[in-house]
Amino acid sequence: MNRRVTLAGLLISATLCVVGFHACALKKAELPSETVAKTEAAAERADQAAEGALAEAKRADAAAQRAEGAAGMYKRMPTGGGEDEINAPAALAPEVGQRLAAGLERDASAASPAAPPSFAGEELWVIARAEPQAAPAGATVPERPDLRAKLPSSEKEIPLPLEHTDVRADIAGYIASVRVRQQYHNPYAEKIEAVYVFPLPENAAVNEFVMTIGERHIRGIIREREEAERVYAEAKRQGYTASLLTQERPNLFTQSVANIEPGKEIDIDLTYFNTLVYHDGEYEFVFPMVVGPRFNPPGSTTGIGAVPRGQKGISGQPVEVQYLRPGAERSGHDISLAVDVDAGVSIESIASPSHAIEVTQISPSRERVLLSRLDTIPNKDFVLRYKVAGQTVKTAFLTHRDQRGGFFTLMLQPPAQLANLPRAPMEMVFVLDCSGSMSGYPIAKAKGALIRALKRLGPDDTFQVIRFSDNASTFGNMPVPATSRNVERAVEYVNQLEGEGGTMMIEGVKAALDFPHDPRRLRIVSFMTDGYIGNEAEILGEIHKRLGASRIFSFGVGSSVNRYLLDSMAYVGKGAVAYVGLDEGSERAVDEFYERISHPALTDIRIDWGKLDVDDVYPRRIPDLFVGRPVIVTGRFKGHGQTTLHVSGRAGGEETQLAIGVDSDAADAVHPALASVWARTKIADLDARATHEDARELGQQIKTVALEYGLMSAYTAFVAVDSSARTAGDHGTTVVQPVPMPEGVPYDTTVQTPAH
Amino acid sequence: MNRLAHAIAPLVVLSLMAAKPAHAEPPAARFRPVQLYIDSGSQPLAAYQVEIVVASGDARIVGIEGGEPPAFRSAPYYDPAALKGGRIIIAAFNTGDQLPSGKVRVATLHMEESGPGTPVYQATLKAAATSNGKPIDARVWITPDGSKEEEKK
Amino acid sequence: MSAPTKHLDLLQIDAVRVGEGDKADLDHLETCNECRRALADLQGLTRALQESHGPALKVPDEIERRILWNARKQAAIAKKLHVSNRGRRMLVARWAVAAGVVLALGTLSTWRLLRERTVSRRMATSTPVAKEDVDGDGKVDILDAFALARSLRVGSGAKPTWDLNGDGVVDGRDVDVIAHTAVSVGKV
Repeated sequence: MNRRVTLAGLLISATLCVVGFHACALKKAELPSETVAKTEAAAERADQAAEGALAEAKRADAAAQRAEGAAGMYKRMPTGGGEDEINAPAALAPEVGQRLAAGLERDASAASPAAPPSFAGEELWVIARAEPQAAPAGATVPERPDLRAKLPSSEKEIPLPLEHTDVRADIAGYIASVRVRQQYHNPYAEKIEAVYVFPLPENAAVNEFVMTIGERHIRGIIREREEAERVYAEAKRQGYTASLLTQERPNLFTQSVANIEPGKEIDIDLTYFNTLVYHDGEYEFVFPMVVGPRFNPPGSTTGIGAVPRGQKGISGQPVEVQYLRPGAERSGHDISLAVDVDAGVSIESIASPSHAIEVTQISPSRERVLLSRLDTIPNKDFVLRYKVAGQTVKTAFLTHRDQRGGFFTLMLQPPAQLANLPRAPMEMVFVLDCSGSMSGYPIAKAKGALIRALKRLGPDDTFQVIRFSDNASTFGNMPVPATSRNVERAVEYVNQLEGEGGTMMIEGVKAALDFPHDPRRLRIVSFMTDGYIGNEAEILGEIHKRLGASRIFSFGVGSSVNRYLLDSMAYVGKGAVAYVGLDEGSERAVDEFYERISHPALTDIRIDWGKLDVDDVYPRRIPDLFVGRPVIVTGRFKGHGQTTLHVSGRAGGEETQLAIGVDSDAADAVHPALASVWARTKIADLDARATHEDARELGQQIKTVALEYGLMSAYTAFVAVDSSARTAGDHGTTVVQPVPMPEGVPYDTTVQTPAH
Repeated sequence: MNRLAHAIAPLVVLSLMAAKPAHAEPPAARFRPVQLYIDSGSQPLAAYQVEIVVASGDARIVGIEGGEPPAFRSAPYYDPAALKGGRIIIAAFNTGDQLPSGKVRVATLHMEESGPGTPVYQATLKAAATSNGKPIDARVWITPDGSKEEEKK
Repeated sequence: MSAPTKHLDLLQIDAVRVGEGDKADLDHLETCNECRRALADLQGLTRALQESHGPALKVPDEIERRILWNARKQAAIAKKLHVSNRGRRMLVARWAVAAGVVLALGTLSTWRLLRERTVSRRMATSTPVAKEDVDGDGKVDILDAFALARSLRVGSGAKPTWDLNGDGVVDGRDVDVIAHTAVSVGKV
């Protein structure tokens, strides 16, 4: 009996050992040799493509030279007469010759390489097309496996699904159209689902989605979010390759791709457009590349978790971002980016404060910008700024009509006389984010900005300094006069502040807005923060409730700030926002801030639309007009012909009126994207209201608009299913793509660790 | 022995009944590609426009794919607003030289079908042209995978 | 040794520019870079000329004929009549006044006639002709997008009305506008 028991025990143990061994073997990730070969082939293709791009650039150069030659030829043309009179063109006045040359140059530049992806190529005129990934001259190329072996030994390369992101932006006027291509592959020996959380500009209107499998392009469909998620889940369960794009915040999205077979590649192309920020004579194009680690107040269940790689679920939040540990892990995911700027007028200067770039001038009003191959790690926002020639942009009225009716966009410039009015005394309240995510570079930058701002206060101003992290505390009990002694003491106070702890921004909001307001002064509350919180809706709701007569001017400090939060705070707070990257000085932002607040704004703005029958105008509350900062108003309209708009408001205690003549039928005032711009603005307005009004009812309205105009929103999603074949086996393992820490943000004080 | 057999027999019978496959319930949603073909005869096909209707049954589009010939490989134009109403217009063209002729697959609609029965699709050719833009006679077929061809002019 | 390539002459290129080129010429353009460049040059020249000069004034044919007829008639009458110098001068003056009155009336009535025709043409087409109807067949479909795309590819004359998005250039973006209109289920 004992022998039988012993034998049975041995047999069971042996069985368990064998099962355990196989389980471990299955979990181990293997790189198929096919993957290595494919990576080498891809690198070779990229080299060839770079050579092709260089040849194209040379051809374009030759075309431009031909245009110049033709222009010279026309300038020298005979006056006619003689045998060739009929065929010889008449002599041209010099200015005509110059115009002709400009026209030819434009024609030559139209033949230059790398036209915007929607319109490239001779054979096909389609919205989406598949092309071999052509790396333009100067762009980055994927790393070879042998190069990976040469990485510093402290950093371990982790094989992950997202190989590369390619961004192509096409800017015309103040609207950017951007195509983002994410290249996924399966480096494992079994099927996987890839999940990637990534940012886009908070005003991005995503309107196209294409899944490419080999040479097949499947365009995704916009649906109500629950339905899209259901379709995706069912397709995944049944073994079909499928993809789903959902929105977590206006600037945060999740891409899921199911049933990627071993060694296979799938590309996801999504296209969005957005309007550029214009201020003080400069346009700014921003492409965010990484989500910053968010803090969620205790008890929050609707936030965004920041967790280490592979630690899914430890934050308790519905959305999580996994981070690679700096110095120990890297993914190999890199990014290439090209921007084609067509300003319509001469571009005076163009630069990026965030990245190394290569700039090629196509014509005086067109520039091609490429991200340098030395700066391709996606760990900070890409910022491009360019100045245009001549006067600052004038007030403009643009229209678009289609079968849905008329849409307009009114760009309102502040009246020139605002710059001549003196400002009122201020009660400046500086609120400094001293949370853990600000530790190091970010807080140093913020403190520098704050100190500069303190030193620029006027003798009639008062000020307060508030710091917040887990809680809030103040420099003084009440705002103090801006005497040199008080400013000196405040500078000492600021200098000793450090970044540590959580980001209980609600405490900062309460401390800044809850004390009695000095009626003789205008209260300006200036937040200096990276915005790394997961409870944006709560913060915006609190600001709306407590704002009163105050104004909020914020500084977003860091390489990848939460612009959705900062921009929304500025809108709800009837103020403005400036951004200070880690690679640029804060002087510019602070000086512009003072320039802005040094003159009164045009407030309480009302618009008389004249003979235009307008409806659905957004934003519903027109923001104050500050010097150097135009405001964009969009809406629907009926009617034709010319009329005069009257814009009235108060500035410096006086009523001011501005008359704008518009022609709703003017052919040169049409813009194709206006309908979608209007829809996106309406969605943003409804979203903002949902922070303090009935979110369910507003959600329904958002859903209706988003579906009608084919746009992403929190209530709609894109889904694409390849129903042509099921993949073998079950739905495979879910692999979440971890991301690098934003540049300058510490890992240890921001990323949640598993509870011990 | 007899007692043992009597004890085991019911168990065996029950096991056999459990092992016999029950009538497989179709999944709540089914995914099926629906192919669109156009036959332009000897003329090269350069442009087409087709209207597709779900004549009966419950089906929704979950993807729109281009066709087989390189000229029509990219996903065609379509109106996102159309998807709600069970009717969709798709169209594409190509200005190049490598154009297909004869019967070719120009697009595939990936459909999610649900409910009893099989949805019925109808396609109507609204326009077809050859390389110089001249309209041509052509025929259109819409063929869900696994079903008989349905031809419509 | 092959025969030298026969390029299109200026008249042929100009015919293509205004949309009247024949098929052989269009086919030649598709394969000949030289001729395509010449077409682009001519288009640029035309644009520059149009920018530097206003629209040409044209006297309506009817008025021109009337003036000439009156002038000839007046000359014939003057030849036949043998009147004194003074009488002749009086006669000429009377006829000149009469011719002037006739001319003025003729001009006025012709102008009104032309104006009525324009108005009635506008009224007759109370549903405006769609700008997207590039091929002019009375409906907007993918063939219109295709027609514009082909026209852009060979570089033949693009009408300003085809700048559907109003960005000042007729290009692939306008093709996309037409294509989206073509597939829109909401269009009339």
